[in-house]
Amino acid sequence: MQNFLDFIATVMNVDASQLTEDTAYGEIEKWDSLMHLKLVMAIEENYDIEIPIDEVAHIKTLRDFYKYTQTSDNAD
Amino acid sequence: MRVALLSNVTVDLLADQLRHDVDIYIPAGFDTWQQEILSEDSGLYEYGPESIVALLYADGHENIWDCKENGERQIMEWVNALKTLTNRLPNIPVFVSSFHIAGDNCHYAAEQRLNLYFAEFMNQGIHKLYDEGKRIYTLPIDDLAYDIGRKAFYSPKMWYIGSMPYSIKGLAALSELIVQYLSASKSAKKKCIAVDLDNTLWGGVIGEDGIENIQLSNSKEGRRYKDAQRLLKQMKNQGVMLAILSKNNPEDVEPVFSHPDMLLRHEDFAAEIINWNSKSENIRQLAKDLNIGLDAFVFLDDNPAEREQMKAECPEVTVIEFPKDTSKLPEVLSQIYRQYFFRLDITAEDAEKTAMYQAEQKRKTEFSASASPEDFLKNLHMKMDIHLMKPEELKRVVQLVNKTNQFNTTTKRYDEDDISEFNMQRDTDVITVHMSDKYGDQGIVGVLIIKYAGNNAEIDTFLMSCRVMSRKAEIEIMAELKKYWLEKSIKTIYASYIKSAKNAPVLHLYDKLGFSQADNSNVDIETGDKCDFRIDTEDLPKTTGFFECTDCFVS
Repeated sequence: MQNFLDFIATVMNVDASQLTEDTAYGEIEKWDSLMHLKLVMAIEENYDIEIPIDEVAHIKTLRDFYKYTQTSDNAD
Repeated sequence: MRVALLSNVTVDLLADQLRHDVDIYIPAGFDTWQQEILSEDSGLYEYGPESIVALLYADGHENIWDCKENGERQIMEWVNALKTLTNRLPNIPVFVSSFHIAGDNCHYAAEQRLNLYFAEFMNQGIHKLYDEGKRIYTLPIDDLAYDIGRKAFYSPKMWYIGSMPYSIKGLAALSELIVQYLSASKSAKKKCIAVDLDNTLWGGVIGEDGIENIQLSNSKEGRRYKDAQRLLKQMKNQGVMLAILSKNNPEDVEPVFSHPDMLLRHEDFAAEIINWNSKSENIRQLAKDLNIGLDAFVFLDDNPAEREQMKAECPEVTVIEFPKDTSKLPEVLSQIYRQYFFRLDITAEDAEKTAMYQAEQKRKTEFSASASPEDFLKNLHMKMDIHLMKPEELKRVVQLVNKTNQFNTTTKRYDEDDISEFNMQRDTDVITVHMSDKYGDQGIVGVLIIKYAGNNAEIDTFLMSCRVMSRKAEIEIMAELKKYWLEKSIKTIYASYIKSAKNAPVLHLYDKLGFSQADNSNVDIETGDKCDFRIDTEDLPKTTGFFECTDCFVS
């Protein structure tokens, strides 16, 4: 999980200590709708997975994102 | 640098990336770029951009690309908007994305080339504006899509969710390309590629393998070296200087220059140093010969020991990491071009740079062999042509006005707009000076900007390229201008010297030309920042006798 959070921190350009698995969309300033899309793209590319388009809007917390990465060969 | 990013799609993420390098303005609202251009009080004009990027995403529009007429109409609309933009901001470079269809299509065989037709149609529209003198350039995003792969460059998901067509990879590549184009406007980068010969311009070692056994051919393995040479030659034709730095016996190397697949010939190199000295020593010699700094060199050599030696001894030189797999040699060269030599436009002088440099070497040799400087000048058979600037000379004039430091009396910098305007004003002359001699044509070597008021003329700008200094050209120019001014009944000429960090060579120019310090000027020229001069037209110098003047002031 920590590796995942570190990765998210670099994408968001924030300090990793600001993030936990419960950090939610809109809760920190950087995570706006644009960042949400950037996270989708970055996670898809980094973990070589697909997040189906209909599920993107239902992702609320970093834990939700993390779940997708667990199906990846690159999972933490 | 302030850059406006105009687009018909959401480009916030791209803007975020570009902000690492430049300041970015994006219009408020979605797909408002055309309104921004059309309304004169829009944020775009208020922002005052120094460059503009127009990223036009074809698939952002309705399904019009199945029909030739609809597609043409859409492209015409874009080109017209861009025309308005370049009319309103004529001096600002505009980079327009090449036409590219991102999405999937069902094309029957006979219609699928329609995409290519549209790309060319758009290309022609942009080119027409460029030919009209607009600073508009195509940003080849289709190349990026080919390099990365269309599917990886675009992201349909981002397009459907966020109206952003590009993937993360695509955004990174786009941003890199845009920065490359933006930074090309500021020139002053590298000037020369110094290349090794064996295993760099051909495969094998000429001194050991002999001419029959080196790899250099039109097909198979030898082709990679021929392609590398082709890229070097392209760069040379744009004004990049090529130099040879090789440890060899010159007589071993000579036969290769007659090899049928040797694209680079002696005349393509500004300098050749072939001996057994260290390359760092030799590159210092090159720097002296070519009159450029060590930091203006890029060094290409297959031998890691030579590269390390260069890095250690001349850290200012950019040493290229030579590819282990030499099938990548052409790719490395095009990367070198993009990184260090890429430019937006070239002038006729750029294309002739190497030939001009070689002629200069011959002049130097003749000078040292001459009995006296006067003998030397007489034997050069110099020709001078002075006339009012013609429109096609504008780019070179702007280049000289902005980069001439040494022989420049006032170092006033003007852009294309300023110069065109001067050229149209009745009370201002923009004058160009051309020189040639028995060794070749030197093109436009001098520029004067003269402002008139009644019977007086003021020399606002007087500059010459440093390569024609010490030829008495300045005296000849004044002698020619004297005739011109007497005809125009100009009685008195005023001029100024404004000190800059680099223009000491013209400190005493006006003294030597017979001017005296103006009445109100009691400045000590050695210490003052500005000194005013005047002379009666009749007292201007007589012709030197060293020049044949043709067509002066007949244009």
